[in-house]
Amino acid sequence: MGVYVYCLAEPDARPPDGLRGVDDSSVVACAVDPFIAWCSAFEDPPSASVERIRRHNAVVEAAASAGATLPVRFGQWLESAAALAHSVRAGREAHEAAFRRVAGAVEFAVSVVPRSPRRRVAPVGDADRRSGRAYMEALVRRAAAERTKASRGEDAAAAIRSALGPLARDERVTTGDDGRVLARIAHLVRRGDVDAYRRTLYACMGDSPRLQLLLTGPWPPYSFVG
Amino acid sequence: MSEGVEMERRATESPPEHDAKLHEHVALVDLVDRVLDRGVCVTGDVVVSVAGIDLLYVGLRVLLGSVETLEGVRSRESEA
Repeated sequence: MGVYVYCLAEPDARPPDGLRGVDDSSVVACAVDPFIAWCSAFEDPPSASVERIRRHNAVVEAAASAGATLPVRFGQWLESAAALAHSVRAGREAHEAAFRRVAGAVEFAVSVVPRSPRRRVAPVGDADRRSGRAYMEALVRRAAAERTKASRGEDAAAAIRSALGPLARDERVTTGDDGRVLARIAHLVRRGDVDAYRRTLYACMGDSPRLQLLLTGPWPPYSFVG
Repeated sequence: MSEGVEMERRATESPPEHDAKLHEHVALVDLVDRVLDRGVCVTGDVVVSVAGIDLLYVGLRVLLGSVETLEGVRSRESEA
């Protein structure tokens, strides 16, 4: 029987009796010295669905409520508990460093979105294909618009970073989304700083006439363990 | 969770004038993005099967686009 993994936890953080995971499977502790893995028995790797993703995350959140946790991404399945222990042992130093990084902290996500409707960048259309020059100019316009968008996202992330100061213990910033979002930012926040973090973020929201900041969390620290 | 932080407090947080539908969308995107594309990897790259079709996860937009597309294909197939 294979093993499906949700997260790595400290040795004394065992799943509560009756905890159910993906596909209503029982969640059990699997010793992967020096950690504990929260796992379910699965014949084969489960395929992804929104419901399974929610159940996976619910187990990780239960573990995070019990102590420091390294969330494992969806779909991590090994053919046996021995194979899991071997794999975790191979990454032991990195896992220990990750535990130190996220101990006592949670993750928040901030999406930076323009308040005004998106000004669409005109696609390269038939008119642009009438000559090589027009086509190249259309490509240049698109590239310039994408650079501007990424730059706005980076500027917003820097402004938020400045406002938060040490309230954000660490951050990950992603720009370049081709949707409406200018930047996706993950902040690692000490549990004791969560209220101050929220207040500061709300103040940033009020200060920004042109940008919306959308906050979700707290999440287990998915973005800070890889 | 200790120190008063409730992990189950998942709803998107922002002032009430903000667009609720956008918030709902962002919360789902944040969930899927984290669970599928972040976190510890103990087995290397994983092929994730969505709606019965295997995908190597290459990005959230691709995945969500694919799900919508595949669900549309499925419903058309079931109607045929």
